[in-house]
Amino acid sequence: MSANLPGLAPLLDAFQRHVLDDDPAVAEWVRATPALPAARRLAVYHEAYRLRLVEVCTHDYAGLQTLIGEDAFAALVLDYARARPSVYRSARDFSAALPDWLQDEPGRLPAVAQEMLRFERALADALDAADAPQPGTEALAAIDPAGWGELVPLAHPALTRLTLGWDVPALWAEMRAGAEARAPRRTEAPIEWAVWRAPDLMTQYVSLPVAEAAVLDAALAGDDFATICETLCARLPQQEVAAAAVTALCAALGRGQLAGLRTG
Amino acid sequence: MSLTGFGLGLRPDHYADILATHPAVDWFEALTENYLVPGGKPLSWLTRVREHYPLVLHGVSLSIGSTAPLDRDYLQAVKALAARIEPEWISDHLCWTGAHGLNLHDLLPLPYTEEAVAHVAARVREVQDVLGRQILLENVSSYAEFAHAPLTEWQFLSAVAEAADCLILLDINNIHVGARNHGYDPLEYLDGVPAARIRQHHLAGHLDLGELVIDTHDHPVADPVWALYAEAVRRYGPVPAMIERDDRIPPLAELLAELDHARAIARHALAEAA
Repeated sequence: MSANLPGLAPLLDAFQRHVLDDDPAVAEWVRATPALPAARRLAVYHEAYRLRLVEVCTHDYAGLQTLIGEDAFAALVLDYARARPSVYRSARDFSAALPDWLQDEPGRLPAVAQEMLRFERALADALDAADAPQPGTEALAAIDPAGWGELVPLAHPALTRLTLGWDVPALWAEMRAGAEARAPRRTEAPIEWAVWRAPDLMTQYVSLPVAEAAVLDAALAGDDFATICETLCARLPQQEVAAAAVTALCAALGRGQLAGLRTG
Repeated sequence: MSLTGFGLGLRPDHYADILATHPAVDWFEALTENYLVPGGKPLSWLTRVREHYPLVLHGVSLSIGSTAPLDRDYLQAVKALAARIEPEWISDHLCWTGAHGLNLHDLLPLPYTEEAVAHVAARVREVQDVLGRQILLENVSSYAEFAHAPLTEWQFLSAVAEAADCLILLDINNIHVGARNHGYDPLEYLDGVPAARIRQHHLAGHLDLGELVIDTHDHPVADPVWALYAEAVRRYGPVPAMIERDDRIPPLAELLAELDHARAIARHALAEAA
């Protein structure tokens, strides 16, 4: 027997509590039929909510899901949803904030899974990050030779830098290609990576030699060319530093990882 | 609002095919939230499709029935997107998606009460003021209805549209799903909606579980929905109609064939009605 309908606000609040927490209170105001009791009708919404959030996160983190297994992945997403219900207009933004929640959950994921999460987040972010010029190496033509030291490379908004200690990009590519599952491999030493959106709008990733990593790190930090060279002095023979930095700058411009160069 | 003919939901799976083959589709419907992004691939594709086809925008986040304040930032973002791609119209759903700042990412049912009519209509007018245009509201699929509500679903939809002076996107599949789940007569629904306010139809597939029908958009349009569509054409005339597919998306050619079927049904129904 249903009670009289309450006002709009308390009714929607009760319905929301059901969707979020399976609170049965709203059932007394839901019309039931012999074939479909109120609880079964309401369950559609509660189940759909959970399935939708797992589905949208699977879209962004398919590699992570494969790595830790479907059940563990679903449990991860639902724990996240319980801790931080979505406040976003798009479910994709809920998915995008998963790494932020995981920062408060140290030890929740093994190191390789954390790296897969970061790698896949970078790929997803590159897709629709803000547009910006990608001038290519022609940007160097306008540089006054006397002003090189103060030249600041500008990162393209779609650029992410990663340092990975596992062969996550290779593993991810194999998963996408449908290859047979294998165990992740730790690399001999951490490898520097860039993820970005190329001028043809395709998302790309590449491993970086030390000079290219230094250029992109400087671009993201707002550091100038002189700082790049100082950084490289600790990693390369001094006589090779300037040439390596210029070559790296050309590579970054050529790939569209930079939105330009600021001088003066 | 001069759009006519038959459209398709624009999905990323088909971007390249559409631009390569320029299929015989009169217009495309883009999901608003997918393009409220700073830049990149989705917006670029949308802009390129717009160079060849009229577009309409269809949102899922307006939450017009919520008791939370309208999201002004969202409305301004929709307005900016509309300025960029010049859609023929903008639609969203007669539902709510969350309260107290939360988004449940679902199209949730409202009680069919006079209080809800007044509440929603006031918000629609506010939205229309911000966007500077009439919007279309779509009837949603539902699995639960609130007891002791004095209005039917179609009376509620009609009352909101009249009170807010907005237009209607009538989803034929959603009427079928609701009729099955709640036991009403879908023809009574069609007869009860003000024809002059209907600007668009949605056609889509569903999952029939017997005692319950779920609006999944992952199947071809089912025969009872085609039959109901024919009834709608007989009543309302050649309202622009489109097919939605959001999961298990087939090759574009398959949807084009389904769209041809919609054209044939409409042609036949119009000939019968003449």
